[in-house]
Amino acid sequence: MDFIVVQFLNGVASASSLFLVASGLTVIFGVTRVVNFAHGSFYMLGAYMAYTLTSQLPRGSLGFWGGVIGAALVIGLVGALLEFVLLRRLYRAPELFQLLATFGVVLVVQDLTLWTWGPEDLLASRPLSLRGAVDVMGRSVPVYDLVLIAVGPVVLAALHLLFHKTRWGTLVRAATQDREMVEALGVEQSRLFTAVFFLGSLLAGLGGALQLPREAASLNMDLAQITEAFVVVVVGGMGSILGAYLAALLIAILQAFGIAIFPKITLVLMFLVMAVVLAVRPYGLLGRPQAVARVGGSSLAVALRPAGSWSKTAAAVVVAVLALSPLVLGDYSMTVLTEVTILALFAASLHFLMGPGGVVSFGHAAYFGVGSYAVAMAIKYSGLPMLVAVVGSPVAAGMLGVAVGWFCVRLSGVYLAMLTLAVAQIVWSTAIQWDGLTGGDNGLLGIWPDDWARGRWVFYLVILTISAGGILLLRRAIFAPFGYALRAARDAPLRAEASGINPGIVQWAAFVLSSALAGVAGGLFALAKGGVFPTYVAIGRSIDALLMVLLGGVATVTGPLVGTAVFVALQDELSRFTNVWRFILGCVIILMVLAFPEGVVGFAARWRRDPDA
Amino acid sequence: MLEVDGIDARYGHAQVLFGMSFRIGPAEAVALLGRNGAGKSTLLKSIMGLVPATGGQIRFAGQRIDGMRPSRVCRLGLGYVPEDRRIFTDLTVLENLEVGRRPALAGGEPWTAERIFQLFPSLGEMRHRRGDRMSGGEQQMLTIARTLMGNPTLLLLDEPSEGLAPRVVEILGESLASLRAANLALLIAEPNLAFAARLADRAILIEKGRVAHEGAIADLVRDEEIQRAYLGA
Amino acid sequence: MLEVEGLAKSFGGVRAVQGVTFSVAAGEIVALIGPNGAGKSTCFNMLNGQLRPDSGRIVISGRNSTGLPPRKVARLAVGRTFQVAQTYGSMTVRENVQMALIAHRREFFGLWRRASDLHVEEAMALLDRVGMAEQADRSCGVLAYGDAKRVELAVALAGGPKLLLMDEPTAGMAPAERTALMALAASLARAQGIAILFTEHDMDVVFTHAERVLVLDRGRIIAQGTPETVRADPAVRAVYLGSTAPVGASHAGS
Repeated sequence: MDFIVVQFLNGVASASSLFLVASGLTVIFGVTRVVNFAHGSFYMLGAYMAYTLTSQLPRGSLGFWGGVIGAALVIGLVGALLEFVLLRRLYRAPELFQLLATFGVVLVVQDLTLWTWGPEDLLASRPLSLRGAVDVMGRSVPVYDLVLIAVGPVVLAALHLLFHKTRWGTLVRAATQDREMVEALGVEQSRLFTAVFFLGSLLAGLGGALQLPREAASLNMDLAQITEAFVVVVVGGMGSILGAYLAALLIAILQAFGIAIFPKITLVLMFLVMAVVLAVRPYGLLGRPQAVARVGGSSLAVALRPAGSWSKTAAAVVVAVLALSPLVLGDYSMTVLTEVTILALFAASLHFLMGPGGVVSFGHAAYFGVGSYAVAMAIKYSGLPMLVAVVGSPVAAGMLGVAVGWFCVRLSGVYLAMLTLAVAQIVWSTAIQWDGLTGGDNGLLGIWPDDWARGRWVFYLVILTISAGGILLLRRAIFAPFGYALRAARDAPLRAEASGINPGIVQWAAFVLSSALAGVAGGLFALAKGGVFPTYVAIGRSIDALLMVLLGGVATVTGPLVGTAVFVALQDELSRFTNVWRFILGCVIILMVLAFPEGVVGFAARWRRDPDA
Repeated sequence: MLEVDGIDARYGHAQVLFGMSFRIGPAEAVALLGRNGAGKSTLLKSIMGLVPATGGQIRFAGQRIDGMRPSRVCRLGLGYVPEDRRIFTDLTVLENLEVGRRPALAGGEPWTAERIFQLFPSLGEMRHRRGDRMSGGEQQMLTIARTLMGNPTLLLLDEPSEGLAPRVVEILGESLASLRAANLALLIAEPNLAFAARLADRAILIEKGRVAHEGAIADLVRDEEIQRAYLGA
Repeated sequence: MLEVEGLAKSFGGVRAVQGVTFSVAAGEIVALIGPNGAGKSTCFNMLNGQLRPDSGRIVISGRNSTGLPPRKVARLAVGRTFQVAQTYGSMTVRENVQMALIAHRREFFGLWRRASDLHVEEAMALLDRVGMAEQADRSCGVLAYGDAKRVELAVALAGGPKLLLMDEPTAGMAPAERTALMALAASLARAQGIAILFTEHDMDVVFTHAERVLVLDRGRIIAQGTPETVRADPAVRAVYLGSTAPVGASHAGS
């Protein structure tokens, strides 16, 4: 009994900080429709800033609270500044590009934080008055936890009053629904947005600052926190602050018990909660179906044309040149080329889902990673021949696709983005935590091709054949009835239904096909690298895939292939010549999104059509 | 009061307005007639700044307003009533009015919720009702009421009678007529000539993004040839 | 053809539709009218499967369709057009019809053959009937609104329907186009013995084309009969048509 009470209190205390971050995310999203990836970075900055302020200010309660509130205010200003400088230029861009741009911010902030505060974890000391413990049923509970337990409801009540009893709050709620109309009624949208970003970021900063005495500030708390916050927001219902609180409670309490009883289950537990909630309530506990935001975003509904005979010849020539390339290229170039060939299949698989399918997967690395681990384990533990093992990769990734796709086709927009992202995070942490099977952080090494395929020419031909075959299959599918049905479900789901098509089943099938082929790419990648590592599943790889597709342009079929080549070359050069590649890559992403919201090939296609544009 | 001088506007790739010019005097009520797709909605939106005018000039109350943000245009005294109503369905009637509230420009009695409820008594009976629990007619009244709270001197109305039952259209017409009697200038985009004719004294007929005809609305009602040519009747 | 019996639906305690009973005979053209909020859309969405009724029965061609999802209702030879034309913007006009034919034949899981090579002649024949054959290769996303409505009609006919459900078929169109579109739909339906049930706000369209009119108010049918009887019905005038009925008479009644 006492154990239960203590874990329960522990969970409720953790919920407060989670709630603060999630409520900020939900408020910002509600009004600006921006899913702010960088929100986790604000949480992290909040913790670091609180560390600096509390260690500068005089010790004692006043100094501590002054530091915490000061940190929250500073982070609020940072958020407002980000909105003012960057995000307001992106409100009309597609959702996806906004997410990418904010991911660019995440990368930039990571390097800036490293420069400013160094790589060590930083732990702040609590002021004396908050250091004690209270006796609860024979066990001691830290006073600070009790303070945190109180913070959640207090902030919840304050937000409720703010949104329902003030003119500003009424304007924010109105803008959540139809911001253009609010502007036409004389309310300056840009100021409202900046203010909302200030509030949202302040909440994230406060969450980070309050967490500091419990958990050291570290450089990886941004992505860990944003994943949890996404899950909380989705479970609670996008835009619902009370929902965010309930979801934070639910998840934090389950986590508290999970860690105490069976540590390895925690992340899966979170996913299970989300899965159950979304299966019963597709818009979260207290969410409602989303009103379509009234913005002039660009539509993906561009007519696709199959390749003409000229393009077919060109494609054949490219494949032939690639097949002969081992004759002339050196070892390093071959490594890069192999990587590009495999990643082209990965990008094509994501494009199939995103373009014709209209289903954006933010965690496509999950299937890539599962495919690569499947091959590695099959070879390592069962000693299966390479080609048999490679067959296992689409099966394993496809099975995950069946499970995740079942949820995905019931969700849309932001819910979908967050669910797919969360799944990828869970696969990633499974890869790290289940070290008996996956080798943990060290991964599995010594995954080499069979003897007959060791020669660099033979191996590259195997890779090229499988990758090109997969890409060809996807291309045929796009112009076959299945691809048409998929576009039908995307363009006009009501019409598709009325014609006798089940849009959900079609999208689900596409999800499975796409994840299976991503798995194939992952399997080949494991062979090419001679091993598998958790980084194959990390958020970074999912983002890589998105960048490759978006660089090339979603609305074109060839785009992703070009995008892959551009991207791999870029990343390769960056990481070879500089140690601040995250900072530079982040800046490049941001600039790219600002400059080419339609992708490189999309931009070129538009330029051909309309030379004045 | 409002001078539109040779404006062009595009919607996506297509140009919708071509060098459109006209004027509206103080306290004048003008109907903007034309088929669907003639450019009526786009014209109102570009006056309001919701769709940028790509050429020409718009002046209101002596100031250039083309290129201005909608919020600033609104504060100069232009009230915009959109098509499809677009009330805030999550907000109550009173909260919807609060979003539209702005201090009055010099002179005149400012609109308050109580004054609104005299004009639209049915709204007064549901002041705490949420927008999504209201009928189409009530929502349309609220859209107009919300814009009035900004104390406009010229009201732009985009197809206020569209999609409403004939009975409701009649009631709406009466309320708008009383606003007109109180010297509020009106620019009403309408496909329905009968409705427009009851409110406006002058009509501007637009066709394919150009002004095709301008004149007293009474003449237009009698002129079946023009009606056939531009309204598709 | 279509028999509806005691249909009812409530939303959060508000009774949107209560005890609606009517039938549509094969080949008959019937209009469903009523003021906003009378329950027309709710009623319509129960017929086409988008909403599940709380109680009542819907029988289409002798088969009970109550509670079936839209795609299953479609399989009972029911074609639909929407208030706002629903077409596939990323496909050409012809491909829109081809897609409907592919769907009707359940061939949509094919992964290899080109979809644009399938059922070409049949698609062109359908487009010819609605007068869209010349624009067959244009992208549907760039069509004029009236043309998109015609394409939608061809798409609805592709499934070989016995019943056509048209939700405000002329909404958003210019008056002249309105009558033309409904005249086209009516003539095609008469030629093939297809029944049409449509909702409509434009009384000119209703009184010109409907053979029978159902009037809905506050979720109940308050009158039904020929256009003449309904037009003269005092109850209908009071709740819906108003004293100046019909709207638009001043410019179209001439």
